[in-house]
Amino acid sequence: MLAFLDSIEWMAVAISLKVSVCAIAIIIVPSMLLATWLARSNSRLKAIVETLIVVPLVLPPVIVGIGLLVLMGSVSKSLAFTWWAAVVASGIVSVPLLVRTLRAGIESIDPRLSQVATTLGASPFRVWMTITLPQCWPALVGGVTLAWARAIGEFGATLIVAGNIQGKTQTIPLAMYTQWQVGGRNVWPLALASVLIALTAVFVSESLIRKGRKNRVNASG
Amino acid sequence: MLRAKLQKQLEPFVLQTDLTLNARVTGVFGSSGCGKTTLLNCIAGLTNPDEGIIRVGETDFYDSTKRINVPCRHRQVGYVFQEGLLFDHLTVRQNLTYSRHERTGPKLEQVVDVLELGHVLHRSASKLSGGESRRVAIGRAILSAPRLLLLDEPLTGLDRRMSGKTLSYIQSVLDAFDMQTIYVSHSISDIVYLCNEVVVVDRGKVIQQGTPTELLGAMVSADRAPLPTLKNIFPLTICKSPGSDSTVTGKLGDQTLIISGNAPEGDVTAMVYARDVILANQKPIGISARNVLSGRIERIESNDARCVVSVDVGVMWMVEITRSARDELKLEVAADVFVIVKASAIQLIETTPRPR
Repeated sequence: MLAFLDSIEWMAVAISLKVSVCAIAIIIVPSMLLATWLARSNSRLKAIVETLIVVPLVLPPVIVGIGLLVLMGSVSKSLAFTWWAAVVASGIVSVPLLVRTLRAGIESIDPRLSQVATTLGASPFRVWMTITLPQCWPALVGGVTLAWARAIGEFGATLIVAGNIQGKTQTIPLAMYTQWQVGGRNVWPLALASVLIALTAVFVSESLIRKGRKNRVNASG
Repeated sequence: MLRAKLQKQLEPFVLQTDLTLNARVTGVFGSSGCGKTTLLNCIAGLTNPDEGIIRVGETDFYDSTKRINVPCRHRQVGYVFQEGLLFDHLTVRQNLTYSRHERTGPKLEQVVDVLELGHVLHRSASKLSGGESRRVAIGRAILSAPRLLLLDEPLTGLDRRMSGKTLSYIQSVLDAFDMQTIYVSHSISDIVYLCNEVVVVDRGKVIQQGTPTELLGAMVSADRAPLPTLKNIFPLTICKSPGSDSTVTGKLGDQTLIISGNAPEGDVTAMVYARDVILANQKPIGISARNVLSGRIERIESNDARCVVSVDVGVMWMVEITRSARDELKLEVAADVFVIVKASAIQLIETTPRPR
C-alpha cells in the first residue's frame, strides 16, 4: 500500500518526521527544567506558569496558530511559512504533554533522595543527572512519546503558521487533508504510514522502558 | 565541637536551641514532632534557621548576623536519614562511592569490612533487606569524609532483632572512625548504649543536657509515664562453644557469663532487659540462676513505684526493681551488690565485627 505513495507524499512523511523530531529536540530540555521546577518549587508564580503551559492544550489549535503568526509577524517575519514555523507550532502544542508527564514522574520521586545526594556533596546538576533523571526515566520516555505523537499529528496551528506548501511545509496530516479535498487515492496509504510511525514510536518507547527495568534487575544479580 | 544557637518558627512552636556539644557521640532524645529532625536539617543545611549561629570546629556553617550560609553540599556533614534512603537505581558500591571523597576520607575497603557489606557490593540497592540498607546508608555517609555525622533515628522500621544488630554495627562504626556524631533516637536504651552525652528536646526547647544516666534518672524522678522498656546492651566475647547443656560462655571484662543457646566463638552483642535482672546485697547460695556478678552501685533513681539502679559490673548495667525492694535491701550508692541474671534472660543479638 505504501508503494502507492508518490514522491510528494513521501516528502510529506519526511517533513513530518523532520518537524516532529526537531520540535521535541528543542522542547525537551526546557520542559525537563520546567517540570522539575513545577514539581519541587513552592513559588507563588507556579499557578500562573501552570496555567500558561496548559493553554495550548485546551485552546483550539487554530487560535494557537493565529497567535503564533501574530507573534512571528512582530518578531521575525521570515520565519512564517517555513518548515521552522511548523517546528515552532508543533513544539508549542507538545510542551504541555511533555511537561505534565515529566512533572508527575518527578513528583513521584522522594525529594529526600536529592537531599541525601546534596549532603554527599553533589551539585544541583549532578543531583539532576544521577538521581532525578534515572528515577524519572519511564516518565521521560512516556512523555517524549506522547509529545512526539502530538507533534507529528499537529494540523491546525501548522496550517496557519506554516501553510500547506508541497515539499516544503506539507506534513502528513496536511497532505491527507489535501488528498481528501480533491478525492485523491492516497489518503489511506498516508493514514497507514501515520499508524505505522505511531506504532513504531510506542514499541520503541516501551522497549526503552523495559530495558531500563531490565538493567535494574541485572544490577541486582 | 558543634555550636548550634538557633531559632526557627515551626508549627505550632518555635525551635530554639543554644547548644555547645563537645562529646564524641551526643544523643538527641525527644518525642515525635518535637523538632529533632529540624535541628539536624538546620545543621546539615537542608533548612535555614530564621536566625542564629551554627559552627563546627572553627568553621561557621551559618551566621545570620554575618550573613554566612554555607550551602549544604559544602558542609561535609554525613547525614543518615530515617529508612536509609538509598539510591535504588544504583548498586551498593555505587551508593557507597557516590560522594567521591574516598581519597580524603575512610577507604571503601575499610568501611565495607566494618559494616560487612562485601557480599552485597554488586547487588542493586533495591534488593537489600532493611538492615542491609541501613548499613549501606551509614557506610555512604562515612565515605563522604564528614566533619560531623548525623544519624536520624536510623533504626526506624526495623524489627527488634535487626534493630539490635544494626545498633551494634553503629557502635563498631563509631569505634572505627573518629568523628563527632549526633544520634537522634526515641530509645533511651540505645542512647545509653551509644552516647556520651544526651540532649532532651521538648516542643522545640532543650529541656535537659547531661549524661545518659542523668537523663534516665531525671525520667524516673519525674515519673514520666510510660517509662520506656530499659535494656542493657553490651559487647561480649564468646569464648566457649556450646556444651552438653546448650549453653555458651561469654567474657564480660573480668566476669564470666553463661548464656542459653548456641553461638560461635568470637565477639557478639548481648542484651538483657533491666526488669529481668535481680539484685542481692549478699552472695546468694543455692540458686538456679547461672550468672551472679559482683558490682558496685553508681546511681539510684526512683519515683513512687519504680527504682532504676545503675550498677558497674565492668560495664554499666541498669537494674529495675521496686521501691520496696530498694528499701528492704537498704541499697545505697557505692554499695557492693550482686547482680543475678538467668542464662535464658541474656539474648545474643548478632555477631558483630570489631574495629581493627
